[in-house]
Amino acid sequence: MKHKLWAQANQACLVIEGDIDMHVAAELRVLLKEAASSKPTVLLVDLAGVSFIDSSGIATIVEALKIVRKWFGKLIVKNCQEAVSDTFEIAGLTEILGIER
Amino acid sequence: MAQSRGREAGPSRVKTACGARAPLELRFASCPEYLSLLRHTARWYAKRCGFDDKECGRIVLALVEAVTNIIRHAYDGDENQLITLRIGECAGGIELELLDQGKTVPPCALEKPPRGKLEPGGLGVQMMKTCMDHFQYEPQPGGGTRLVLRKLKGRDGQETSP
Repeated sequence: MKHKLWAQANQACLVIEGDIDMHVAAELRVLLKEAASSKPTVLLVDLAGVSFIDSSGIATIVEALKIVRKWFGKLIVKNCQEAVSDTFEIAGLTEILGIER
Repeated sequence: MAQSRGREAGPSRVKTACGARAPLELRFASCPEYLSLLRHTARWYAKRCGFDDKECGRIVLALVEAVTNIIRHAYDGDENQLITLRIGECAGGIELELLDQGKTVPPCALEKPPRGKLEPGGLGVQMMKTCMDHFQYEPQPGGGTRLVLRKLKGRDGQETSP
């Protein structure tokens, strides 16, 4: 799994490339915690380069959402491919996670 | 005239005498690194059974969730245990059969609260049932579990057995 992380003003953005499953969920958890460490008002998670995500990945993103909500921040998942959007929909988390295609 | 080498096998070369696609069996260690290989294999097979991209994606998702549950719950994360996967064509669809020799964990113990709740964990069983048309979980007499997942072409997934 490749990634880029940038932060400016009150925003942080984590760009992920590669499939997300149990094998990389722990690595994703570390990256999301790092992205949230500056307490951004908005944490963007860009999944344009992700063609597969499973419940392990979704649970990890939900954990990050709970972290940013501690300071009333928002987590937005953006640029989802169709299969990834479908998985969020199956999980019933499309609205809660603020999915943007 | 000689045929070009390296060409993909046509459907007639992987079908049984009765017309169904020949089944595929994989035996592999309970290592999360193999999930990627399983995704490619299941997508390849489902595509050749006639499923569209969205349905293939859901079949692959159900398989990954099933194998993840085996690794995490039946084998407690031990990466050196055996998992057997059989993929076959059934009437109007595809069947995935998974066998393990680990702890028996009933699916109800792994299920999630209602959709939309922010509680990580337990999503996997819900996703399998949503993605597939048939979900059958059988503890084996000698230990371990057999899980059968089926999907029919052109139907949204729905739970058909507890």
